[in-house]
This record gives sequence, structure tokens and C-alpha cells, in this order.
Amino acid sequence: MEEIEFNNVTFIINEKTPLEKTILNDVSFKMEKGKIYSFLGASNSGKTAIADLINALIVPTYGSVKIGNFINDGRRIKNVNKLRFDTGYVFKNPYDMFFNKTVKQEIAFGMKYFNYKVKKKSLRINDALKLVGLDESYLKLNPLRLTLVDAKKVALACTLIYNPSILILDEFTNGLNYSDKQDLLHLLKLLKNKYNKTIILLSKDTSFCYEIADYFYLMHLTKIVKEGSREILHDEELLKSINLEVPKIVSFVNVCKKKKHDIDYYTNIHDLIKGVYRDVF
Amino acid sequence: MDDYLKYRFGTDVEINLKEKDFVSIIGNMNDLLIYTLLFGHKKCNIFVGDKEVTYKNSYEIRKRVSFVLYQHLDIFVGETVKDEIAFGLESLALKKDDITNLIQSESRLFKLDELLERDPNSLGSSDKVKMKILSSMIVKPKIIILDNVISELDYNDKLLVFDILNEFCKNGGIVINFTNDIEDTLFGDKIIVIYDKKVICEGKTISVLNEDKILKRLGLGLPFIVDLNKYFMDYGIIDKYQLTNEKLVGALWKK
Repeated sequence: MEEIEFNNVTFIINEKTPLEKTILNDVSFKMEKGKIYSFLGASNSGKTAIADLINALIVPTYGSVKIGNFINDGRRIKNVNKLRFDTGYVFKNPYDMFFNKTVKQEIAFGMKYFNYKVKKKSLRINDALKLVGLDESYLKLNPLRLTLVDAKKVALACTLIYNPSILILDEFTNGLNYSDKQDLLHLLKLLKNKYNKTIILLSKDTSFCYEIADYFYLMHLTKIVKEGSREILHDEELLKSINLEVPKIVSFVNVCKKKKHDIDYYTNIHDLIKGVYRDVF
Repeated sequence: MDDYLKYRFGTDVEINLKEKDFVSIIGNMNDLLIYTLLFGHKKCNIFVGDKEVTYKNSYEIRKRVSFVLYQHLDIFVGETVKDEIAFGLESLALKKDDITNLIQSESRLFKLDELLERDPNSLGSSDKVKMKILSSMIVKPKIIILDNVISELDYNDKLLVFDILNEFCKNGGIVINFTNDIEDTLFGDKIIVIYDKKVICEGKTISVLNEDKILKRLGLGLPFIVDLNKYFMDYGIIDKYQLTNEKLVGALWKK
């Protein structure tokens, strides 16, 4: 799997009926391997459609999506399972992913379906659970009865088990508490640095994405408004106009700058405190 | 003033809420608490107003308590947003004209008035949450219980919904916001931390957030602005909480 390329992709649902609605409008971008990309946008901006297009769950109305050697442009994709095997996708609502009776069956399903061969299956299931921060007592539970946070973690384990080279997380941080978010940060860094995975975060949690992602796409009403590295999130006016929260650190640093105190844009709170401390004394 | 909601689970969990309380409940017991509030439990005693909740009077109690649950965000009873909101009012047997007028005025408050004829399935997640909160508020309950739905809202909508909920509290209602995100607790005026079937701490927002060691040990963290304040207070740069960026920056470079 080399890279992802969107060429003038337009996606319209219920075309040529009174219920016609444009979800994506002329979107083009290119992604490289081994980086963390973040799509930030309010609801109704078309984030989920992008994930669905990469996973080939939907086909674009116009334009084409290139994912490695596969092309999703409305024609039949040969060996589409290989594409879905390479692009792991965690849904927005984790309960949508579950249909087995126990967590163990649920996690093992990915290996069985994609014919992913490992020596000791049960060992690998335990490892996957440990990776997302759950213990073995969860294996016998019914996934539909789990709490939201645990369900999200199990959904992530279901995806990680077959080792996809691209990982798509749709609104994953919603409803997670502080320590879960920190664990997720470490996991994503590990996946990126050690295993060279491409990670795509679709989110409206700007504070979380600001800390981890390498490249950002700001989306508003079916279009990509702006793309670039971390600097584009320093523009408070732009973020407010597209109904996004300004990252907490950025809004603090911007207030400092307004009062003529020279503080850098740090990515985490500990560096920020050190920076402020140095400036005060 | 007497407590309006009294909730007891086992020996260690006890929640007493008065009218005009906006309380955030945080911890790892949220699902169990909501389940017991919905269906009751043999270990659990709940009083709403002057009545104890039993299986027989649960219909009467549901008029006083509204729930907005995460699992039900994608489940709809109506074909349009209007039908969805009207469902509760219709079951209260209101007149048709009253229902229409009420929906018109209330939906304007939530900025949903342009979406009334839409199919609820075609809405974005933020609008879905607003619709669900509106449809549970429109029947004028005494208590609203939110389960993890605030995290689905866009930023502007979040501020709007918290304004409306605060207004609801001022008029004598009770809002219970079950959440995992500690940032949301800044909007309420009370916090209860419940962990492993025990109430760890409860009280006014800032006094609970002051217990940073407990909150961090439980993995709940602190809201960003409180965390900053805490560090600077430990360094001795500021001496009291400043909960907005402007005030904090002003206090930091005073000396």
C-alpha cells in the first residue's frame, strides 16, 4: 500500500431525486505513507464520506480515489477484500461493528475473514486486547453490552488484529476520558514510529489532533477549506468561522501574544508551562 | 429546600439533588447508574419528589424525568424531525395547534427551525443530539439526564445547549450530565465523582477540581485551564484560580 490520492471526488446521494444532497464537492488531496493525517470539521462536513471512500464502502459519483494499486471510481474493484484488509476502519458508533456473541469471537473474526495466518491465535487476541488497554476478563463478555469507552477499545482491537497498513479512526476520541486519550496518543505514536502505519483521524477534537497529527485538512460544508501543517490551526478566526473549537493551548498562547508576551506554540501542556515559567522570570 | 431526587445504591452511593442543580457525574459507573435510574434495582432506592419509584408508578415518574441516551441517538420514531419532536407531546394528548406552536417556538431556540421537514437519518450528529435533547425537554420534565451525548456536539452548539440547560436549571429544573470528558464539567455547578461503587468526592465544581491528586490518580485528569492554574499555583506565581485565559495571562505577568 503506497499512498492515497483523491482526484476531484464528488459524492452525491439520492442523485436526480428531490432528496438530492451533495456530501463531498470536488475534493482532491494526496497522502504519503507513515504519517498521521487529521480531518477536522464540524458535523455535516463530509468527514465520514472520506473514510467510506477510502474503505470502498461507497463509490464516488464523479472523480476517482486511488488507494495503493486499487482505484475506486465506480467500476468494480477486483479483490476488494484485499483493499479492506489493508485499510482498517473503526466506525463512529462502535456498536455498529459488532455482531458476534463474545468479544473473543468478535476480535478473532478479522483474522478468520481475511485469512490472516498467525501461529497462536489466542495469544494474538490477548496481545491485541492488551495493546488497547483491556485485560483478559473482557473476552467472555457480550460486546453489545459493553460501555461506550470499552466498546470503542474493542472496536480498535478488532481492527488492529489483522495489522492493516492504513488505520482510519472516525470520531474516536469522543467520550474518552483523559487517561484513555493519553494511552491512545502513545499507541498512535507507536504505530506510526515503529510500524510505519498511515493513520487518518477524523475528528472535531482539535486539541487532541493538534498534539499528534502531522498534517491537517480543515473541512466545512462538503469542501476542504484549508490544508497544511500545524500552523493553520493558529488562525482563530478561520476555526471559529467553520464551527470548530480552537485548540486549548493555541487559544492560551494567542492571548499571551496579544498582550505581547513571546510564547511559542507548544504541543503539550508541560512544555507550555516551562515556556511560560521562563518568560515570567 | 428539600431534596427533589434521592438516589441510593447499596450502602456507599448516595446522590441527593435539589431543584436548580446542574450536576456532572464522572467516573466509571455511569452505565450502571443510568441503568438503575431507568429500570430500578433491588439494591436501589429512588425518590423523585415525594414518590418512591416502583415498577407500578414508573409511567408517572417518566413524566418527570427525561433521558437522552447515546445508544438511542440513531433510533427514531418519526419520519421527519417534526414528528420526532412531537412524539412526546402527542402521548401527553395535547391539542394539535398547541403542538405546532410549541414546536415552532422551541425549535427556534435550538436553531433547528429550518430542519423540521428533514428526515432525521439525514441529519449530522450534532443536529441529531440537539433534536433528541429538544424532544426530551419539550415535554417539560423536572429532571433531564444526559448520557455522554455532549461529546457529539459541535463547539457552537455545545455552548448553545449549555446556555439552554442553564436557563432550564434557573427555572427550577435539574440537569444530570453523565460524562467522561472532564472539560464538560466546567459548565455545570456541581460535580460528583463515582468510582468503583463509591462516591469519591462531591461538591461545587471548583472545590472538586481542587482535588487534583485524586482526579489524576483515577485517570480523569483536569480541565486544561484548571491544570495550568494548578501548576502555576504550585510554582507560587499566582495565588487564586483564574478560569479564563485573559485573567490568567493578566495575573501571570503582574509581578
